[in-house]
Amino acid sequence: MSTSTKDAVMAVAQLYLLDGSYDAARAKIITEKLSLLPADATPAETVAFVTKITNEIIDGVNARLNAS
Amino acid sequence: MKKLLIALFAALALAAPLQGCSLLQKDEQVQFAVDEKLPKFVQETQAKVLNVRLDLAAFALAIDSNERAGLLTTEQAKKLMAKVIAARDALDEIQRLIGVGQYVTAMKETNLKSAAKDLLRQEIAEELAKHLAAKKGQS
Repeated sequence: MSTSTKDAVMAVAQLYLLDGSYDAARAKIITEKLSLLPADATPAETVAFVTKITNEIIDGVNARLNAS
Repeated sequence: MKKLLIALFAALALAAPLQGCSLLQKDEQVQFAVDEKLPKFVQETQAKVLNVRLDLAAFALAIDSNERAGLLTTEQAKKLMAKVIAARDALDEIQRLIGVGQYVTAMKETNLKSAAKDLLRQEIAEELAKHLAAKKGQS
């Protein structure tokens, strides 16, 4: 394969790798975090809960990157 | 054209074990409890906002894991996280608009943010490709 073809292969592979890590992360949040939301939660409680767990993840990653 | 097809098949073969069964899970929308007293389009907007929040958290984890794996530099990861945080701040504003009854503005903004998610995904992929190209240049 030529260099440009190899680059194209790697670019597509990277895109799939990203999709894999994104989809795996989303599934993990749903199974590990969202499953803790009580079945009888009100809409307001649901909004507060989802906002809290997603903020914790985003702020946690941001803090780690800024500390490095 | 033949070369491109070969490249695509090679990429798929390389990526498939990494990706697992994620194709089946792509953009699965979660059904949330919504306030049924509100108009239908507001209920849909609320549910969409929560799903975009999940998307952003998943982006943060994907950026985190790719940076840890050395597929993104820390600087690239920080730059992408700044975009995730800006999008999160926009969602906070949308939720505030829903709270004060500005439903139509909230719906329009949510649709924009939902579409912006795909752009963000593309930007992360581009940063990954850039980093890879830079690494190749060094070797």
